[in-house]
This record gives sequence, structure tokens and C-alpha cells, in this order.
Amino acid sequence: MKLDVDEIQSSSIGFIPDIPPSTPGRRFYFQDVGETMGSEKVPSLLSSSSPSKPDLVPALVNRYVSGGISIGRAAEIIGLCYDDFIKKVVEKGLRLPMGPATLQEFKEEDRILQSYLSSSVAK
Amino acid sequence: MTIVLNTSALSTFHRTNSLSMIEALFKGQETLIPKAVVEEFLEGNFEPPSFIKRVTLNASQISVANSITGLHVGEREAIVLAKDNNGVLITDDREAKKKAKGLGVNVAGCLVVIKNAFLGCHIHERERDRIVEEGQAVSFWPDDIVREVLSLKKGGP
Repeated sequence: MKLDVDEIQSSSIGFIPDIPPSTPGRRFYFQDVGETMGSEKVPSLLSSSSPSKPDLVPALVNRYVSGGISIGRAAEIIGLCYDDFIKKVVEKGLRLPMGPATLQEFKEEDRILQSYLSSSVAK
Repeated sequence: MTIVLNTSALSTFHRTNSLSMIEALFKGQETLIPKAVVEEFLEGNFEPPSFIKRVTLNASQISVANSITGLHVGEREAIVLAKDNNGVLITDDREAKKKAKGLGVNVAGCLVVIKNAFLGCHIHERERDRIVEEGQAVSFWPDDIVREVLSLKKGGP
């Protein structure tokens, strides 16, 4: 099931009200990781072209970078397929760091793959 | 043994027109993708090449996949598939990688696939450079690791 921004905004999955209720703004709420993003970040997420709708892409990129959701999950939250989400990220000049984070991690991945390839050849 | 591609890897190799490199590198091996990955990728408007086998998970596997949090269903299923087949999961998504490693799954990224395809003479140097350049535009690989891959020569390290 896909959720569009309006659905996210109005549903308990996408947002929860601030506490106390009189506090302006809302908080992002990611149900599957049980974490919130503070309401102080919300104004910066408003798209200049559509001030009534929050631009969720930067928030979701931040959420991926800080850990807790994958890119596929971020795309799902915003209601896009994987490639369309990547396109949005690129359009906005944002970056989604992917692949090994360090040279050491790259070498470990290389060791795993070479081990797999050599065992396949041996068979 | 088995190779499982998740969406990030499928996207990178598809965008860079290098799925044939995967076929050559893992020739004779089983290359799998869960059905949910196909549905996630390009909203299902993608027909994987014949060497990639689409797999529908059984109820028990789906139950395990559903217990993994923070990932799209395709990514969860790819992890379970790799684990159950004692295979290697190819992914560049750092969260998926973290979850997979936590479950004891062997993980490798697209850059090591490209590196080994080059060193195994499945692609020429110019082709490697093209795939890395085009892949980096959408995969945001770290510059120092990209330089490492691009600096390799045949017969080198």
C-alpha cells in the first residue's frame, strides 16, 4: 500500500501531535522504528513551491543517514518506487551515502565475494 | 551457492546497463531476487533477464521477513532468501546491510562486484570506468573507494 503526503500528514502513522496539544506543529513518527523527529525541524521541511505540504524527502534522507530506515522504506513512506525516490533525491541536490562506508568495509566485502567466487569455481 | 540481489543493487546494475556483467561473473550460479523486489523496483514495470530467478517466499520465510523492521518488504525478503540459501546478498543500502549482517548474512556491495568482474576479465577497463561513473551518480559511493576500484589494473592487487 502506498501513502501519499496527505495520508501521511493526517494519519497516526506519519505524524503524531505534539504534546501538549496546544503546541504548534507536529512531529514525524516512523512507526516501525518508534522514533520521532522534533517539531523544530518541520518548518525547514516545507517546500517553497507547495507551502501547505511538507517536503518529506530531506527528512527521509536524514532518517536514512542517521539509521533506522532503508532507502526502499523511505520511498515507501513517501509513496514512490525506489528509482523515483532516488530521482527526487538527486533533483534536490541531496546525497544518500551507499555502499561501504570505509575502505576496510570494502575490503571485507571483497573478501566475502572472492571467497564465494573461489568456492564456486572449486565446485 | 546463491547470489541474491536487492533493490539497490538491481537498480544500479539496471541503470548502468550492466546486468550482463552479473550474469558473466556468476555464470552457472543461482541468482535470485524476491518477487517483492521486482514489485518495488520501477513499480513492477521491469522484467528481469532470464538468468535471474524470481522467488516467492513461503509463509515461514515471510514470517521471518516481517519481523525485520525499518526495511521495505523487498529488502526484508532478500535478506531472508540469502540467509536460507547460505548465499551472498548484494546491496548498497547501509540499513539493509546492517540488518543482514545482524542476522549472519554475507553481504557485498556493487563496487566489489564491479571490481571482481573487471579482475575476472568479464568487463574491460573502459566498461568498468563507465559503470562506476554512471553508478556513482545514483549510488553516491564514497570517493576514496571509487578511486580504489578505478585505480586497479589487471594483474594488480
